[in-house]
Amino acid sequence: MFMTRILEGDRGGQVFLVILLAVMIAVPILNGLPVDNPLHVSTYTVTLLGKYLTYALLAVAVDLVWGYLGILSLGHAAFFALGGYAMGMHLMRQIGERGVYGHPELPDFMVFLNWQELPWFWNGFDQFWFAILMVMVAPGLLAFVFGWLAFRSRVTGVYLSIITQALTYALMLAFFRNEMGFGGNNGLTDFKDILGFSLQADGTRIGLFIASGVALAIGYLACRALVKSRLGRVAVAIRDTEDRTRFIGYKVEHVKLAIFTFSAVLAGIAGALYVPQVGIINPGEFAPLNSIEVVIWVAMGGRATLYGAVLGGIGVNYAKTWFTAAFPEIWLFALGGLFVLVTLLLPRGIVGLWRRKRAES
Amino acid sequence: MSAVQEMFRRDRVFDFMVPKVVEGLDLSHGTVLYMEDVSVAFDGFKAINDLNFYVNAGELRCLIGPNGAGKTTMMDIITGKTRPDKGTCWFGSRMNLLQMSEPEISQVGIGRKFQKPTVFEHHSVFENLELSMAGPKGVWRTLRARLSATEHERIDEVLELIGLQDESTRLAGALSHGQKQWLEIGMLLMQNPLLLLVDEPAAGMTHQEMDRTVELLTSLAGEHSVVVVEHDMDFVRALNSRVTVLHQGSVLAEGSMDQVQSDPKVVEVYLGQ
Amino acid sequence: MLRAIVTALLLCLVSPLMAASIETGDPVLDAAFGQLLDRDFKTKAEGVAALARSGNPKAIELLRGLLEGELRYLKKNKRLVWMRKQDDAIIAIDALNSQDYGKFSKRKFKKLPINNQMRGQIGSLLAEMELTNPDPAVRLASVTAMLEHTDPTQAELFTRMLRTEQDSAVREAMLAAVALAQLSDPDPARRRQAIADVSGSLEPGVRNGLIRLADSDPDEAVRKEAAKALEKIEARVEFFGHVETFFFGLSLGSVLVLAAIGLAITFGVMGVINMAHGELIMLGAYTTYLIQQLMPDMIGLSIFLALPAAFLVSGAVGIAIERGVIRFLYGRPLETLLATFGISLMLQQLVRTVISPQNVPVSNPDFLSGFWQINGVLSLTYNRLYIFVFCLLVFAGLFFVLKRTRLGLQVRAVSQNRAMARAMGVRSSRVDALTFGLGSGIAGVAGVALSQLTNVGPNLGQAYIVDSFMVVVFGGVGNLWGTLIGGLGLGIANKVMEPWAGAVLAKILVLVFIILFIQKRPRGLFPQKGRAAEG
Repeated sequence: MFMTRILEGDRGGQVFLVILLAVMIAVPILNGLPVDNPLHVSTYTVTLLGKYLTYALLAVAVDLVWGYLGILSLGHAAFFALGGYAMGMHLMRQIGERGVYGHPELPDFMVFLNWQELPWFWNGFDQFWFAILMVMVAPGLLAFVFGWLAFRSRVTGVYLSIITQALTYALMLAFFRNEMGFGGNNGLTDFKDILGFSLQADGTRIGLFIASGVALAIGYLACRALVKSRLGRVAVAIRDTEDRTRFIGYKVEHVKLAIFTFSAVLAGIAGALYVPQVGIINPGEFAPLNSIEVVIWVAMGGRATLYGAVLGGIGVNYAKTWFTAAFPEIWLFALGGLFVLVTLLLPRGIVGLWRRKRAES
Repeated sequence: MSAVQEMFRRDRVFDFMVPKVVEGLDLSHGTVLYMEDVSVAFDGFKAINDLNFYVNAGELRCLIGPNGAGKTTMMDIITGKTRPDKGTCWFGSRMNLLQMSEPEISQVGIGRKFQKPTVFEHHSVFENLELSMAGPKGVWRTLRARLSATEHERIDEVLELIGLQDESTRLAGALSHGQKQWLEIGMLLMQNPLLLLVDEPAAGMTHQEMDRTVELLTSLAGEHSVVVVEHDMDFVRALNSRVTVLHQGSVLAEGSMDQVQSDPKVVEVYLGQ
Repeated sequence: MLRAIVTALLLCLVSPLMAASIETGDPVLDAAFGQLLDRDFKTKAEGVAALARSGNPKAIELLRGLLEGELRYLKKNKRLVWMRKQDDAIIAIDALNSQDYGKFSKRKFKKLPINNQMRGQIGSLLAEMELTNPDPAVRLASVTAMLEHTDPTQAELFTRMLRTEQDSAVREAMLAAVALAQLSDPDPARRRQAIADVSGSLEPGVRNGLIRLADSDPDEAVRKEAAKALEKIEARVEFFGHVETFFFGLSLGSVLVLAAIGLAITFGVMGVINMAHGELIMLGAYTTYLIQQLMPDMIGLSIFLALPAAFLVSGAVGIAIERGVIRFLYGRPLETLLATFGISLMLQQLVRTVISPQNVPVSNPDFLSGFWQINGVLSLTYNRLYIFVFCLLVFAGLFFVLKRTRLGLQVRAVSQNRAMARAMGVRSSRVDALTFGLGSGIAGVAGVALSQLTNVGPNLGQAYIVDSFMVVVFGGVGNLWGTLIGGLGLGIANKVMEPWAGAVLAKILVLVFIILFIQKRPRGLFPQKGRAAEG
């Protein structure tokens, strides 16, 4: 089968997908158990797991461009947020008359600002297919334009990373402004339903959870296929010696652009699945810190493995959830310390440790 | 390479060695590389000074000269990395290299092997050769590319030629220095170049490796034109080819190794350093 | 006997009304106030005039207090007092010697009633007295204030004063006032003359008068002249507006330069991306706060102490970071970026837990407040001027250290060719540590400067880190001049765009501009030859 061919040789990927499948089956069943059953998985946990899965997809997207192409993007959360906003805009329009102000067309925050009509860029978002399209096009287009400008002038290394920071920072400032028409610093929230299903219902939450899992699986397989193809080998060649690759005749800029844009689209999809599960999207998602955190997930799990990114994405966020509940004061210390430790002691991430053990034995 | 041509060449072992037909390349006059009155200066320093250099089709030529003579700069001009301030540089009798970009020059069949071996360290030997294969290199094409049987055979043939058939799955970073040099020559050959520019192939090699390299280069001549830049006089002698001596950016002497070595101007330049 | 008692009693009742008198210690004042207390308004007016003429240094204050109704007197001790509120009670402060008499009920404070005519009289007497004040700054302020309300009678006053006025700035203002008053003159020729007299003046009162004339004067020639004069004034105002924008830009730019210059050293010399740079700035600001906590009464001195202290604190932290973490990550700039980011998070959280998650107050010393009024529309605040000068001083100092000292020589050697420098005996690892310490120390000093301009909180660093990187990237890595020109340039660009784009959008545009600029010149304005962070 096509899938088995892609996963050939990818032990980690095989293990990961099996576990994912198992979780995707088990969790809804366990959620269906009565509440007093010790194995019951609460709907809250289902949503939390769904959130982790979207983070994992984001991490995979970052690993693709960082681990395999050598581009340390410190602004990928911007693509995540853009996808999230696209979905959010659709969900806002679905609220219709059920909002606080009861306006059939305008979302609450626009009524509050005394706006008379919907800004032009909100048109079309009442259609689900349009929103899905925008989820991919908005981050993709931004990545394409940005990449075209940056890669064409051969900006690399730390300069590129700093500029991606500037990009996400600028977007954050822009989206915080009320005049932009995206809800200002409150963002978009108070969603009611998606495709007719109430967002509060258990069934919908399980559905979203499963959708996140499916998206993660497909995204993983797509990335794995890309990495295994000759294009993936070219990407690694670019990562290692860009000039030499160019010399052989590959259009390095085109390769970077294609993979960067693809990664941005994946991140956008992740964001779009994230928003209905957490119920809100605000400009804070554009914060530079968010993008840097994603990089740490990948570094922690193990760069250039794809399944390492999944491990890091889920693992670090689980730790964050636990820490911020148990010792909120210490979380930032722990996170900062994590950054230092991973870069100093674990250059190949946790996966690297395991690999080293296998090599030694 | 079309199927018809492949049929034609069935008696040949190394199919891939037949250079591709390049449109616009005119070798009817017998000269494959033609450089005339070339000069270039960097920050006032004249690196190349009224250089005249001609290579015949199918020839193996050695280029020697003391450090700073301009050998590397000359190669840079041929491959398009540097543009001369004046002069002409032709590939065949009709292709003006000065008007072409680096990738274009590489595509029409001029291949260069650099001094420092730059192979893709994290790829295997086989993958290195696969990446260097001639052919369309667009993004979509590359994504969907599948190695055909012919191509696989071709890579195997190159592997045998460069002597690395036993190392094909080894990571290039783990090869010895000499092996890396061969791999690089192999990568160059994958592009079916008509003109090979080889920069100091013998550097860092053992004597056995050098012998093998002499064999390799000699066998390439005829179907390809090869220009070898070298310092090692024994190696140059072993190649037994016409030798051009470069000094301060222009040609000092040209001829067989014996002729050149007994030329008083050459002796002065080399001993006087 | 009974009649005597009743008369005495009646006299006692009446006497307070009659014998209302005030004792000030100055017989002239006593007499004046005695007149002020008289029921007859003409006598009151004479009393006011007498007060003005008295020559008592407190006269102006007392007159003003009379005008504003704050001046009262206590019947109990016959003293003039200020009625002041303290907590929930009302206290009496002696108007002449500032003695505190304690709390009284409101009824005990007797008023000194005046009418509107007297108000006018007191007003112009006060003006006249201020106009003869020995301090020219007081005179100038008074004339300027009066320009707001033009009044033909004032023209006469000013013409009179002009005869004896020496100070040129005050003369100019007075002439403007006279001309302004003459703008309402019935004779159109005189009005045109007046327009010619005031043309070029930047006083807002003049502008208002001219606007009035340009719109509604019956004489057409006068209207035309007024419009022309207004154009000239608008042009001048616009010019000074640009000057002010430029000044603001320089001031913002000097803040950027101060923040970025430490980064330029560590990034440029060592190729190290220090994401904790913002926190080093923050630590410098907090050092200022802590020193001010230690000596709350000597704010001026605290700044001078804070400068070296912040340098040492941030420098020490910087050296610790270098020795503890960065040293092991040389040659891996992306890892350094991540590790230092982690350190920045830890430093922020450290400050939040040890000191406070809220902003902390840092006071400005006196010499930093106030402003320099250049003309009617342009005034430059001292703190901005000082910051700019300070920035230049720091830059010069750093330049000196790098170009003229042994350490600077070693730093430059190591940055250009580490192996060679080591071969020459330079202890490159020590130089690294010291360089990083220097860059960090400068960041601390920048923090002291920032503490005077903006709120100090744990997030201070985050606000400046992106900007600092932009300045360094734009100006050219490792190049001091690049940082200076880049920083000042970006500051000016930001401020120039602000009026029509708004502060946030201007910032966004600057960021976008830099992103685009890097496409054209990937190494910045003044690229450095030699080692650079090429990733």
